[in-house]
Amino acid sequence: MEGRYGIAMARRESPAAGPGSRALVVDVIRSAETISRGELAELTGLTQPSISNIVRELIADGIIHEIGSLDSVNGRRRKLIAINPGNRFGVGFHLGADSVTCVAVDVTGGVVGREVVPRLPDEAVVADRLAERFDDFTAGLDLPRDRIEGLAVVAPAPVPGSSGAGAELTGVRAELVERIGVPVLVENDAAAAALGEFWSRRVSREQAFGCIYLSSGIGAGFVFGGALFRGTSFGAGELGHVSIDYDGRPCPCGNLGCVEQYASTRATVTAARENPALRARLALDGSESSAYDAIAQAAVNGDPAAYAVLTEAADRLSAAATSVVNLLDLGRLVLTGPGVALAGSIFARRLRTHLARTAHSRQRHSVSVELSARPRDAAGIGAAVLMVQAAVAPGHTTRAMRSER
Amino acid sequence: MTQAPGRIGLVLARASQVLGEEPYYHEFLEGLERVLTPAGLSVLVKVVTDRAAENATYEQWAAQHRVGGVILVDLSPGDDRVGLVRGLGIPAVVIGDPSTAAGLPTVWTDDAGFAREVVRFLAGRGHTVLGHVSGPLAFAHTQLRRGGIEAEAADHGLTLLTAEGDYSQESGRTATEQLLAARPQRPTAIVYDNDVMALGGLETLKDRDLQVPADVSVVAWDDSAQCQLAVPALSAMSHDVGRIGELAAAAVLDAMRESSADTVYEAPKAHIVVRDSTR
Repeated sequence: MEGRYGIAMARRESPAAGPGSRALVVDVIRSAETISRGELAELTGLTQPSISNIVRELIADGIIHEIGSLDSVNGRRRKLIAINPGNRFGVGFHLGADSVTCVAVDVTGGVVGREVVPRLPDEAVVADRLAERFDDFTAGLDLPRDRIEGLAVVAPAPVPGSSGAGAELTGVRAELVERIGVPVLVENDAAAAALGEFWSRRVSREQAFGCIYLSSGIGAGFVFGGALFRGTSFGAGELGHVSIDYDGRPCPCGNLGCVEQYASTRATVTAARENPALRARLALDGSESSAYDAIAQAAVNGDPAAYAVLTEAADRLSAAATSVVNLLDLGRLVLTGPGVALAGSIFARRLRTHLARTAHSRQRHSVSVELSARPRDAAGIGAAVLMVQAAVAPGHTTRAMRSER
Repeated sequence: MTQAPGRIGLVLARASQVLGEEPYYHEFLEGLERVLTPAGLSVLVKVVTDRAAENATYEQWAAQHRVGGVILVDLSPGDDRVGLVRGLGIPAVVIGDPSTAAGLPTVWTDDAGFAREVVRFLAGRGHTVLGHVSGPLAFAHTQLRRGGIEAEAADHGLTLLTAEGDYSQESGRTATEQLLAARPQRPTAIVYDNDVMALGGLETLKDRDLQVPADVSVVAWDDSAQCQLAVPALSAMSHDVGRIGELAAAAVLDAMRESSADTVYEAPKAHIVVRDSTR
């Protein structure tokens, strides 16, 4: 039944070669790694002539290339095509509290450069500074401007009523485009991270894919049919504000019992500091991020008190994540963000166990839970990948978010 | 620009996918930034595909005054990068053995000593045929580890089978195939030079219907969340990589202040964390 639905969906999406066909073809090549034109026609439901035209265009644009041929069963040579990684680049900036992480990726999502630049506390988000950083970063990597698809700037989604970097960003976008001469996108960090994982893991567009970003807040992103799901106003994925207790801890957002109040890295550090012995043993009085890493390292090395604090957070997060899996019938979930860099195995194990026991779909299909290979940089990488996707598989990015050059 | 810029450079000559996969560098950079970000310095990492491109990068950075210091990794004995950056006048720190650094400050990890420790651990558990999947043998730290493993294996009268990888998961699979093809003896324990190759090895062993640890024990050098999540969870040579990054940051700050220091900053000791992949 699943198989039948899968095929039906793929065919319905693209009955004839329309504007979405190119994105579909790029997506299928990306997730297959290498593929022949015949297989492409089979997998996309497009006709051979349409495939030939789109492939010719993509080769001319330098997005894909032929990488030799293979003997097929009946002896005819089949030419294989693949994404051409080194030809185009995307750049992403992730605005953190005290630093900006700048990342450049190739078309496959492979990182070709990264820089972490200190950011002054309360430093305003201004186009001038961002443009300077962009110039400096791309010059340091020797990336030619005409091979950069654009810049995406991502930040945590602002809490309602506050004016975070996210809110300021939208205001500087047009000016930034003017200054650097490439397209600019603005997105929230967790959503970008989800697209980055989707792209570089070569997840197929048939998958209902989700990604949880664990940091001082908790966010999520979802990719359906190859496109990031954005909601009405680019606010989708506020997993941190899924309540796990209607009478629970108050949250600045106005709700009670938001899972962020129990499972974010900030909540974990607060909980650990309330244990005086643990606080002294792990020297938790420094910065929040170094305190969290100390707790995480101690937990995986077998410190029972640190482990208890983290499993508590993991169990709360698992409850909220299971609700999301049930709501959306997700098939694949990746955990990322600085919160899982050291202690990811604890979160992934607890979530796997919880889902195996309680997920609504457990008798129909398994829900895979994986750990990001680059959790600390996931948002910056995802931002850069957004630009790559917008360029090589257009049609997934809404016009409202895009500023053309 | 006449002032030394507030930026430290690091060039990695590897396929970009490897930087994507390797937790070692993520944690190393995290430690580096823990010290350098508050000090107002940024850290620029450039991934290139070969050594020629790496050297060209240093030359360009120097000519354009883009970095105030560099961190050199994966050195070979008699490495030309040391002379190059010195000639370019860029303050530099070497992550590796002082013998490769020709007077530059180093952050030193006792690779040979820790390699001996892994072998002692496995010999103590009754293994007599060991496999070692190393990183690229051109690197001094790979040679030191291999040397430590060979010496300790000889001391215990163990048979040693070896294969070379490039730190990628794929190379871990290929190298494991090579070790398993060795006749007449098959290793009962395999040590991998990083976690990513060990994960590849685990896949190959599973494909061959070999049980871990009943048939083959597996030890990963470098612990990581992925090691801990693997089934079975991997026993690992754990070292505080974040701390190595912090030391490198301190060393590069020193090097920028006084250009002649050849200080050796010793990394904290590594130790074996025993999980489910060894018997």
